Amino acid sequence: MKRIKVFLLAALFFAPSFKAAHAATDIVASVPELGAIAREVGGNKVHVDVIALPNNDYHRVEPRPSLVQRIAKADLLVRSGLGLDVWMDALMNAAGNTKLNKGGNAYIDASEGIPVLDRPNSSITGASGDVHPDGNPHYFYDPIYAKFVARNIVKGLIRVDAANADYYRSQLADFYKDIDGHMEGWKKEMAPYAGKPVVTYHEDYEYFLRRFGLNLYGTLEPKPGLPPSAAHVNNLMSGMKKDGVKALVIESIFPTKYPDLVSRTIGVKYVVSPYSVGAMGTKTYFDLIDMMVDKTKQALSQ
Amino acid sequence: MTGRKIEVKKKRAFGMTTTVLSGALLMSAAQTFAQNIEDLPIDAATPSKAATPSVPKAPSNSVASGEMIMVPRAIWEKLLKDVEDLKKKNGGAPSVIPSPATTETPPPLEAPNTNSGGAQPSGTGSRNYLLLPDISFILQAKGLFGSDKRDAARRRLNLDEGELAIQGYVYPGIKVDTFITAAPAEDEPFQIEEGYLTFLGLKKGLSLNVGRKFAPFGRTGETHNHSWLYPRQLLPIQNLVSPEALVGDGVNLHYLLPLKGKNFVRASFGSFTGQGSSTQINASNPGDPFFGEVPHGTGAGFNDRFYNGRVWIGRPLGEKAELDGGFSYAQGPSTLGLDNGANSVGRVKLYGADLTYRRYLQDNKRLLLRSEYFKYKPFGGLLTKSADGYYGLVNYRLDKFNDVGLLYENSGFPQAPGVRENASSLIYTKQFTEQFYLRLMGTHGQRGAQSYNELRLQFTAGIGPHTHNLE
Repeated sequence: MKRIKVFLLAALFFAPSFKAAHAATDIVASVPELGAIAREVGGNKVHVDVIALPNNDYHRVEPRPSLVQRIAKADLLVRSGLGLDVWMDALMNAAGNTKLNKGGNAYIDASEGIPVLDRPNSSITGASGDVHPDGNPHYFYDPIYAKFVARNIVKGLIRVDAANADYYRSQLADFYKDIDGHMEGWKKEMAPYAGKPVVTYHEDYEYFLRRFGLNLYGTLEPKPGLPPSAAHVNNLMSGMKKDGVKALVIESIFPTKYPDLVSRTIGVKYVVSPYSVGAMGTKTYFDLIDMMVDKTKQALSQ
Repeated sequence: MTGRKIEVKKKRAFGMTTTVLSGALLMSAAQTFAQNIEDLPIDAATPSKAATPSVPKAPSNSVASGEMIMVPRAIWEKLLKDVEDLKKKNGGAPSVIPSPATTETPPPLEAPNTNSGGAQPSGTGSRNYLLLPDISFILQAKGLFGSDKRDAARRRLNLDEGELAIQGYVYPGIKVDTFITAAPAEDEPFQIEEGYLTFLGLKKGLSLNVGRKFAPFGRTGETHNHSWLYPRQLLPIQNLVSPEALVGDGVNLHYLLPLKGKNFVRASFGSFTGQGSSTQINASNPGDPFFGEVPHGTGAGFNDRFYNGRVWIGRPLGEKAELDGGFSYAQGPSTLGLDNGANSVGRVKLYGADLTYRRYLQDNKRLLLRSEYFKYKPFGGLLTKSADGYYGLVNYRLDKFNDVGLLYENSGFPQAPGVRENASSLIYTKQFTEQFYLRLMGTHGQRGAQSYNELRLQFTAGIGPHTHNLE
């Protein structure tokens, strides 16, 4: 009787394990934006799992047990590269899926071919903050660079699932068209604000702002990854006041203590904008950029 | 390039105006030119003697001496122009963002259109230093301010430990991890805390560690101290398992069960040679088991080959929560010193059970609940007694930079039957960057019959990429 009870308990615990295996290519993406793009180009031939949760700071993800199995059974791995998702290493070690190792057919560095911003050209130290030695890794907020990401993913898909190569190529072509179509609209919406300065919390919106001709005036963080300090925010506010900066966009993962202070002190109201696909009700990559455009416009319209 | 040779020759023949130049500047330009020109076809890179402008060969110390030389302006300007052209050709800032060629992409698919504005490139993609291992250094300073006057470590702020980590692949599927620690307060200040090879993917789901390693025993058995959520080792682990970690030289096998879905089950089996324990048993006066000092544990004190096993099970509870738990077992020989210089020899069995629940909330918030139970059981003549201990931990991450914790610990002592220590602590951690934090822990506890209050302080700062096991 005792053994039956143990068996029943075990069966209950692993109940979802016994579902039928699917034939789709299993993709694991380190962050939600890469996962969303993989879903766009993989269509119904792929199953995508994402490691970092939406609105989880991508610089600090806990490599926990339940994430291991996703990597262990994956056919294709999509990483951001540029030192953003180093926590993937611990998961990959635990999963032991060597076909996903760097340099293999099933490994995709989504940043490949993307012109990187802020790559340090002088020595960096801990005093520089959490600077990424390979440059700013938040390129996926730029819709044009999303095309690069998509192509990198399709290249990987064709390597591991050559039988569906034509399908992936067609999906990629559709994705390019979708992006180009949306870009027309997004550019029109942002055109009236060209050249305007914007303040954010972290430097993650830099690619996005530049794509639409906006200037990143400054960040609440004194240096990348460092918490805001009163002195830095005070200087920033003086500058914003002097230069008439009216747009303060706060990515949805950050605390609002200092944005509140800026609003109270110089009257610039902040607008919270999504950090991830999956944050603030967004479901797809296009939803994310749509909302980023809306929120940035809202901030600039003050 | 032939045209360029002729043009240079012509200008030289006409004896154009000359200009005075710094030898150092000219040599710098000439060296760059020479370097770049190596990439050109041989016929272009090796002009004939007749076509080569007559540039005086500078002495090797010309940079230092600042020697002045004279060359025709036209030759100099042409040389500079060539250098600039070659710089652009060989990776200078392109005006159009390059699109990597890909044979998999069919011709009808145009490369991404990058001409709609956007960033100026400063390089593309990740840089791949494949031969360079990850090298990092983590420094920890700790302070203890406590009311228990028996505690020799109180009222001190010490450099506790520096950890140098060198990690990387040495062969496809084989990784090496080495952690060298420097702890000034220890008898052996420099130690290889861990140094092992990991053979990944021997067979699907199977991996092997060989070398010196923290044995997988307990939920945090393989976790280094800078990754703990508290500033010191937990009391039941100190007392019953090991003051720091159950470490030894040997082999360990992990097997990740190939389950469908997202459930995680990993079985670990190891055999290690332990490092013993320096704790003594007061055999001549059992009524004073701690020699008048602060109560402290012996740990298991494995001094020869011990065996360990652990089953670790985890499953997600929806997208934002997960539960994991495990059972651990270890057994091996233990030798503990007696106050009269003799040894007590026997064996110890250790048991552990743990459960962790994690839930991720909005805005980077995270709740973690963890509890663990340990049992120490001597046999074979060892002069210690069975003891057990447990703890409960709540950790709440308020945002990216701050987290708070509540910890309750309760533990017995193998060398002091009936004596227990319990402690309740409040912990606050301020995370300044990904690799730099400050932690405070305030504790009220009871050691045997005596209560105490403590404040612990921990600074941890790291430099460089550092990878550990699952958290």
